[in-house]
Amino acid sequence: MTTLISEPNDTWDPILAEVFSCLPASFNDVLACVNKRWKNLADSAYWKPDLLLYSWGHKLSAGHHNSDDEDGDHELNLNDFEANEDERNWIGAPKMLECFYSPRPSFQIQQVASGDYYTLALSLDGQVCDFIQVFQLLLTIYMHSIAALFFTAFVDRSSSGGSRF
Amino acid sequence: MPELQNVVEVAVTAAGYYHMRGRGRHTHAAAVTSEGSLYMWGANANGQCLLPISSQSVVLRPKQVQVQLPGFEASEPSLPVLHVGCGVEWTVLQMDAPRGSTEATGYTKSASSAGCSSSSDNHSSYAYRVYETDAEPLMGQYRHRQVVPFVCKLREVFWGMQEVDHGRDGRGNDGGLSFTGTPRLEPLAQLACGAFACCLRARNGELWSFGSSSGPDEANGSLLGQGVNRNPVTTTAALGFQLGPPLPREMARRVHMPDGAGAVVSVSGSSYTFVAVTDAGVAYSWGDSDGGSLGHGQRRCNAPFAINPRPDPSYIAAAAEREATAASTAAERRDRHARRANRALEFQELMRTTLLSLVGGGLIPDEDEDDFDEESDDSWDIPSDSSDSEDDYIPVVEEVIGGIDRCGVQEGSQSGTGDTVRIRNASVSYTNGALVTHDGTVLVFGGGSWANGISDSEGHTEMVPHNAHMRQLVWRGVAKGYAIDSLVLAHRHAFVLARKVPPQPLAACSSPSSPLPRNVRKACED
Repeated sequence: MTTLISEPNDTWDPILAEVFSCLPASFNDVLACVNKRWKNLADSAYWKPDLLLYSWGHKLSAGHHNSDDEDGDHELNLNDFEANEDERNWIGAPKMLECFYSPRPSFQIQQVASGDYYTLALSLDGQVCDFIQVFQLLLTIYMHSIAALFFTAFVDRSSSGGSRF
Repeated sequence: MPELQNVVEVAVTAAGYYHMRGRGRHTHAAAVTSEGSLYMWGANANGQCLLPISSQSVVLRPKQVQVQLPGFEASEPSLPVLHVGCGVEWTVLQMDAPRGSTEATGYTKSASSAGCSSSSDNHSSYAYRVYETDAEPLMGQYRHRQVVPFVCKLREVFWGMQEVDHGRDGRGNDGGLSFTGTPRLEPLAQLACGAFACCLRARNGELWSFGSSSGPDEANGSLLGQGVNRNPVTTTAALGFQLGPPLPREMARRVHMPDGAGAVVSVSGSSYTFVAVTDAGVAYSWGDSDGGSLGHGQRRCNAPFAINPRPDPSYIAAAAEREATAASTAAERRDRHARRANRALEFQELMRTTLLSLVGGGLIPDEDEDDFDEESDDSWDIPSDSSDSEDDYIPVVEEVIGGIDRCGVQEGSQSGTGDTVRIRNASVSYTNGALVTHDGTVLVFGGGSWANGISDSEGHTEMVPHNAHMRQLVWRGVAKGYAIDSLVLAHRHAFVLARKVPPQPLAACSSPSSPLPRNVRKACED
């Protein structure tokens, strides 16, 4: 362990890099604090994934719905709930998507195609995943359907002389 | 998606706005594999997935599609697809031409692109194979060759642009016509679809476009970037199609890039805007300018116009002047009005004493306030007790000014640097646009109309004037050792793809100052 941490042995660097590559990207800052050798290794990109994906905007659309909030706890204000809700769900600047930070080619994204409620991500090994907005699309369709049914029921009742709701 | 393996390209209907569009209901997607197979899924209400409409109005899972261009026998194998793009209810394919490619003299590979589309109220469609010619006389000469109508099975309209392939049979003959000269159009490198128009980027950096010039919502600038807004706004011709022989505008034509702009390296499209980036690091945009969507001050932009990623001094001066004359709240205006009245009283008093001293009295100026309103040209200065329709206008003005204020602060932060800003990639969505530089700086513009956008870092969008300029996102940039590769902007979210910087040359790797480990340096030396 001492060798891994302090001894400048190039034999151990590939092993360290292998270990580093299995850690989340957010660990890089921690690793860089150990010593200069680790910092050099942590700052180096040769062991890191070939591709990184960043996103910003609405959390649900940008893929950060599972990410922890770095800004700390938000104070809940019921009088301004919508504004707080909007701020909570907003990433103001590009932020790395940790789920695609991996040495495995199937997790490295080489192309992104994004529409209104649909995002396709193409990985290095030719796999395609659709993510992020599927449930939002379904929710939209569901809400439209509910609204249509509700409106239909309302019209039916009105035309038949029934009470409004 | 387990159905998709060895995919090399994916496409989805671009985010954007237009009337009568249900969000998500018109979205379809496509994927191309390394073997040239085409998979499509999503909305198929108008056959945009190239599947029978009657059987599948929505394709839930990716399904392989066999594409047969008109003029080819059904028994022939499906043509391999090279690129795919998805618009609204239409699809564009670039396909590898099977015939004449190996035998043709003059070039080695023959690539063609064909657009497949449909219109919902167009029950009898024609298919066109339009051969690229740049000059009008040539079009007349080859008219019978260029327009080959076909009645399609699935109501799709096939619309293609093919390289001049010196004839189908490889000997320069096809129906008695012979094309001479070198092919003008290089093989395509990218298809960028908006909602109603498509841009084709050739590998030599040329940019071509076809489709509707203004879209159903009548864009105030041409979506094709060909210099003229032809404005063919009809429902049946939303994509530039119409019954009968195609007009010249339906052909893919070269986008009018400014002289010396260089080769286009990327292009992106939304519903009513397009943006292209050249190898010189300059971004050009064209199309509809609502909400500052173009990032420059052109109100009617029919051809690519350079986006200045730096603050525009004239814009800042105009904004400052506008701010000086108009940027104040109602309370501030009342205060200023009171100060003005006080100054008027002081002026009256000064005049009174002066005149009294001169003529001995008798000349007293009128105390009507209006006579002393030296800033009567301040047309927006609305009285606080006004009850007319201008009351609704006040908050809008204040909001606009607020946007200018915020823009100005961030523009000032950029103006200090003297180096050239080289744009690496650009993307547009709705009335939003984003640029990313080589060093990872992200600039956002527009977003002031319709479906909002991601204008500021908090996600709030404000009404900004049409010529609002850049706002820079504050972030750490990409990780060390990486460079921006691409940028994708969608509705209120965006993606930035960073690629690892290619390794240094071996000489640099093996140098003692290289940060690489010793064994890697030794391997470089070996």
